[in-house]
Amino acid sequence: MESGKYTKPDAVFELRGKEYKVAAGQTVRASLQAVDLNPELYLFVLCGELVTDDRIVEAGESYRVVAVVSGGDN
Amino acid sequence: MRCRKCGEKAAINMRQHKLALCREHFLQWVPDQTERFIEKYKMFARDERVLLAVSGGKDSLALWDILLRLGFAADGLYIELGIDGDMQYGQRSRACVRKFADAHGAHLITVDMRPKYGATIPELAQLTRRGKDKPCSVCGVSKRYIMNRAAREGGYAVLLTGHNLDDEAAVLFQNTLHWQTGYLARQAPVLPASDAGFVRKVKPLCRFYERETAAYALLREIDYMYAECPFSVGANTIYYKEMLGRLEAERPGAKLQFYLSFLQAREDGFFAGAKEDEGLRSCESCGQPTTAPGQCAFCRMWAAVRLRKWESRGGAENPVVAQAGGR
Repeated sequence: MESGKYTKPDAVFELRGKEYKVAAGQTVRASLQAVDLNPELYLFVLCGELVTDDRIVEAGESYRVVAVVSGGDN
Repeated sequence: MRCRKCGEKAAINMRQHKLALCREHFLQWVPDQTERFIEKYKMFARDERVLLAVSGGKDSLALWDILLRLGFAADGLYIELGIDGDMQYGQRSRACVRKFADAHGAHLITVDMRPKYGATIPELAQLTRRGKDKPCSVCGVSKRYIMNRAAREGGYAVLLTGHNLDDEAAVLFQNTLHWQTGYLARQAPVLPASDAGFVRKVKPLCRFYERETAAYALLREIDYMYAECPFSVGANTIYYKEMLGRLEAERPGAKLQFYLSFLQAREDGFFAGAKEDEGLRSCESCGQPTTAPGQCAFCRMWAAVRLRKWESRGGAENPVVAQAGGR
């Protein structure tokens, strides 16, 4: 029997082959912070388009998260 | 969020500038700003021959793209380091560079470490004390040497690299932590040519955040090497970048302010220690400039490698090999 409790549907963030399920209804920035990632170090691609981190995540969306940091000797 | 210029949906928000732009206006803004920095810091003139070091990563390929769009006839220099491992890092990087050069009809110079100098970076790292547990150091010495030599031999007036603001801020932070005043004195958007043989080195992207160069590469659909160098895991610069990123998240513009304030302090003479040419002499083996007596760091490194190889063969052959310039 169903509990009747409402659970927000998820969206998916994909980063370097790893998937993070995030709750819909919050900003991309907040979603990333919720999984302990710093939004300053990533870009977000939705359906092939770069989107800003104030976008509200909707249920069923799948974002590609692109890490921007590179490094080594300078 | 909307583009400040046209009101369309923004593709990127640059909090440090309080500026959001759509794809079209961002792709116009980046070259405009680059050209402004080239002029502001007097990096190079349109009639000068410029050589751009390209790794296959987002920054150098983005810079190449920007320069070509601005009408500069920039040639590329790719150094085959021999770093592959499971992910075929070198092969994939080279493919990205080659693909870009072919697509744009740009001239590409390739220097292959193994045939030219006798060992790849991973092999060098194994054979030297300098490279033990930190191949980035061996790689840095090699790249700086090869870049300067290629620029000199090719008759280029200026050598460009794709260092962005995050690169600069991370190194600045590291050098400040250790009060490396000599390094601080030499960190600048432009390092002038020296009589001793250093070509002018410039960093046209030094005021762009790494997010912006990555966004530019994505929006221009540049096929760049996304995977990191396998040796960069745990590198200091990445650690400092992540740390500065945390600061930036709380204080937008902190990285930019840190770097620009440093440049101002430098201009005001706070780091006016050793002059660029002071103490520079020619390496006794290859003739490239160095501050060290005798051989430069690159030639010393190779001398050590030859000695180690000789020892490993039981001293059967004479370790004295032709000077670095002759290999």
